[in-house]
Amino acid sequence: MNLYLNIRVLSGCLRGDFVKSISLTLRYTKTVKLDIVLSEKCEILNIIITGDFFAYPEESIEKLENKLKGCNNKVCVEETFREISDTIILGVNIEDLKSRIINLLETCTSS
Amino acid sequence: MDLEGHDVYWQMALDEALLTLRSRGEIENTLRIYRFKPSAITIGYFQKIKEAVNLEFLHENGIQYTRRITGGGSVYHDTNGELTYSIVLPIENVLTGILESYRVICSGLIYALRKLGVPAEFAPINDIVIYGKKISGSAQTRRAGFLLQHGTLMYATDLNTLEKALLAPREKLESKGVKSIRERVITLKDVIGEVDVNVLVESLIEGFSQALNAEIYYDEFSEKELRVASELISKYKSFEWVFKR
Repeated sequence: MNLYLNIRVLSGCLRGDFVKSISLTLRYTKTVKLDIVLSEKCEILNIIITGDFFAYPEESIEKLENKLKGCNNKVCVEETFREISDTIILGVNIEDLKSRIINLLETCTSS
Repeated sequence: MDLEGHDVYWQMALDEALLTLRSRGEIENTLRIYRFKPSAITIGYFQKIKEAVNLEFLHENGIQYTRRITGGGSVYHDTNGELTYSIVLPIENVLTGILESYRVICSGLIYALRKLGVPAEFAPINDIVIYGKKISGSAQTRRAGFLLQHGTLMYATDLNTLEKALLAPREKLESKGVKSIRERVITLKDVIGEVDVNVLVESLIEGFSQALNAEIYYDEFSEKELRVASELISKYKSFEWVFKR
């Protein structure tokens, strides 16, 4: 599997709070882009998952985005992905995608 | 059959209407073959519009665009060079598995292309290629035990416009071993020269009949189908839907 990775990190203040905005592009059979905003405490404030992949049902991706908000650790991310385990996602290595999000949170926490 | 063509909002609304009505048991299994008039762009359900298409180019050239209810990538629908098919069926037997259902339905297109002497091949998940270049892409959604699959067939698409209108991530092009979108695609005209669209349509109908072991008959749209589609047009024109990502 070819896996290309681009990461862009921007830091700044949003409504007085320090935040990190991270864009991550992942190439599996299809392309996925993660746009994540993390709080100063490394909590996911917002996450948008975009790309040319397929998900059945489609609404589960919006559910995943909403449920990931507030996560700041591995357990929370794993639990959230478990909630959509019935979803069939084509063109994406979902385990790798989950690991990338966990890595981002762990890198944020340790920095 | 709609070879005269209608705009992108109507075509997408009609596809969704047929899925809705089929899943309610109110209509039969349905195959449509149609064109977009004027030429237009559709983007996949999960795509970010600003990263999928060149909005400035679309606005300057009056090219309409909307978001599909199906996943996948952005598509340029050239009035004079591209046919679209859509098919609404129950999910049963060979169509239960999603990957397998793509293969089965796409085999109808492959049958049609091979009948025209073109060495078309299925390229999972959802493409058909000739000499490794994409000539057709399909996308599928499922609702309440039924599926809608629609897809393209480029017979003489203006690839200059396609290349200017669509944006492809650098990572995607690199993974395909090409430098531009244009290098990655091919039209029927490139392979066998000018194509009689009516012959192509007949081949497609025969192909889908073979692929799905189905008897196909021609019909007109019912008032109900047209009404449900009309009600969906505003969605496909709305900022909230088109720019939701």
